[in-house]
Amino acid sequence: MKTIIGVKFCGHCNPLIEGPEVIENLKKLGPDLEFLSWEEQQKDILLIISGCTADCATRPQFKGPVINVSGSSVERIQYSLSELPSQILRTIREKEAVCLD
Amino acid sequence: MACTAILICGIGLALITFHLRELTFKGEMIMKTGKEYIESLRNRNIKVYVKGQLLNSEEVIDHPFIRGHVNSAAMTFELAHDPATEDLVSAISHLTGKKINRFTHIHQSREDLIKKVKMLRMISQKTGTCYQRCVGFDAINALYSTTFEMDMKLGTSYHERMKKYIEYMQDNDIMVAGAMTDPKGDRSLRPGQQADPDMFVHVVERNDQGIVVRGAKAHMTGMVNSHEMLIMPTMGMIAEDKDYAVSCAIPVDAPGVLHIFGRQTNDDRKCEGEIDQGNAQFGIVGGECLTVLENVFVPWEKVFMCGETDFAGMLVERFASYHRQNYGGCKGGVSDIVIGAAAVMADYSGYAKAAHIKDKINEMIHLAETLYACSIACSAEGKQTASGSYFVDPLLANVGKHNVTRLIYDIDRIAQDIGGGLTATLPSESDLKNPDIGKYVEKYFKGVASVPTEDRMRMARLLENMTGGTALIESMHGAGSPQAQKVMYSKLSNLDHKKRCAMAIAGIKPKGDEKAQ
Repeated sequence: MKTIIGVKFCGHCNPLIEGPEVIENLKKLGPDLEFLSWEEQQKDILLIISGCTADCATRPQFKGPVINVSGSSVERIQYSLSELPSQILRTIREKEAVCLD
Repeated sequence: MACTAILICGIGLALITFHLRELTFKGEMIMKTGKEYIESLRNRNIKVYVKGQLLNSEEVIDHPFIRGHVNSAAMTFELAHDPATEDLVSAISHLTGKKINRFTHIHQSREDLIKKVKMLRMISQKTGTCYQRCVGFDAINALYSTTFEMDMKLGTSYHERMKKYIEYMQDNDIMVAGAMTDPKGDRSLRPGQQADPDMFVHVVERNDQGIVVRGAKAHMTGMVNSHEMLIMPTMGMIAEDKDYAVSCAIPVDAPGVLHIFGRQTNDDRKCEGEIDQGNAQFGIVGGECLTVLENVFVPWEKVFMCGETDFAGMLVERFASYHRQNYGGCKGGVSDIVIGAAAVMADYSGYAKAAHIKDKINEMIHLAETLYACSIACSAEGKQTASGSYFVDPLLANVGKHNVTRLIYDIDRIAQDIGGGLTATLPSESDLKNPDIGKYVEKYFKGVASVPTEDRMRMARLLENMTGGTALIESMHGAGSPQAQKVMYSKLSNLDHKKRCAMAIAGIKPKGDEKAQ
């Protein structure tokens, strides 16, 4: 069964990263993952992607695990842009493991 | 119509088609799509004159002078449905709890004020020009708090009417044109002193059903592709101006309303091909017109001020501050395009690595972010009004707009410097496509070998159209001419405080209660 990731973007007014492109990369890196809207009721993980460090994306209510990406940071830890997709994927895997536990 | 009109009905949706097609909304949807907005405009019985000709009301939005502005406004609808941008372009209504288009929202927090600026910057990056819908947005927000305070002081019932109107606007996701600027006639005379009383919109009749208004509104952005207009007084009023202190909502196609569409410097190019227009899809600025009101009836439920002269100034100042807040957002986004165009021209021409080019591009970035910073600042310093809605810091909002009247000229000057002389002297698209001479245009306007000449021409034309003519003048006068902002400085900035600070630092002791003069 695929892990469903609900995605919420900030709106990208002055972005360091292009959120939709990040998702495209993640889809290639993790074909077992399914990326849907944050408004989808059935989701395992909520992925918040803000285009820059202002990190202004609205936080929807969600009781499950949440991953925050802002600019090139994942959970407030900064990475190079080239590292970003793999670091997000690594964090998704960590959250998946917690879900399974 | 002189030339073929093709509305880009899909408004270039391919441009914003999101990679993740699975990302669709599941909640209650009352927001129009761009296509639904465009189709809704065809149902109007609107009277629009272009170059002396009355257009068929169903075909107004297809006219080559108008269609780009329609496409641009349609983006304000479409982007509310795009998963990548919906966070900025939608909001939750404080009146109904429904998800609505942000352009119909009443600001409920500083975050709402900031999101507005970010939304404007983002949309400008996609249209490269004005999308017009902020004017009505600012009008409802100014009226919301002003009618509340008017009712508190005078015992009137305008605020409830205003709330009902806003709910109607939200539920139907209509586009409302903000209508403030009167023709004003002799600027040295008050409204009631004019040789022609119609120089300012005024009430000519009151009865049990409503009021009748007469006059005109000038420079009306987005009016011909809106559903309704919100009339507001153009300046503060005194007791003698009672008939001129009027605010009301009127359908753009109401009996007695007609619109005369304004010319632009690039009109003829809209009747030709695509390249020479620079931004063929979305046009240049907002498609302004003169709107004439010949004894137009307005029912009481759509009247939000009628004779309350003491509150005309408050309404004007609130509207102006909200509107001046916008400019670092929308012009910041437009400047992003200009900076990008200048940089691409440098790439195409082979001088992108020159130190002075890099320096100039950095200078443009500095100027654009300065504009943006003011808009963010006036939003972050916003405050709650008695009505519960949020209002920007008016001093910082005026400073931001004043910067636009200067810095856009600097940004555009540098962009023209980088773009090179060909932005002014390029032959036409027709020459490029001419079977006899096209090869010469292709050959002699080529820059680096790997870039097609047509691409270089397209970018040069974009730069030309965005940095001159009508586009540049709009930065000067849109949301008020620079003097209108300067007038606000003496009112909103405490000069005595600055004098006292200076005297204290200089070691000058104040004499009793005497203030520094």
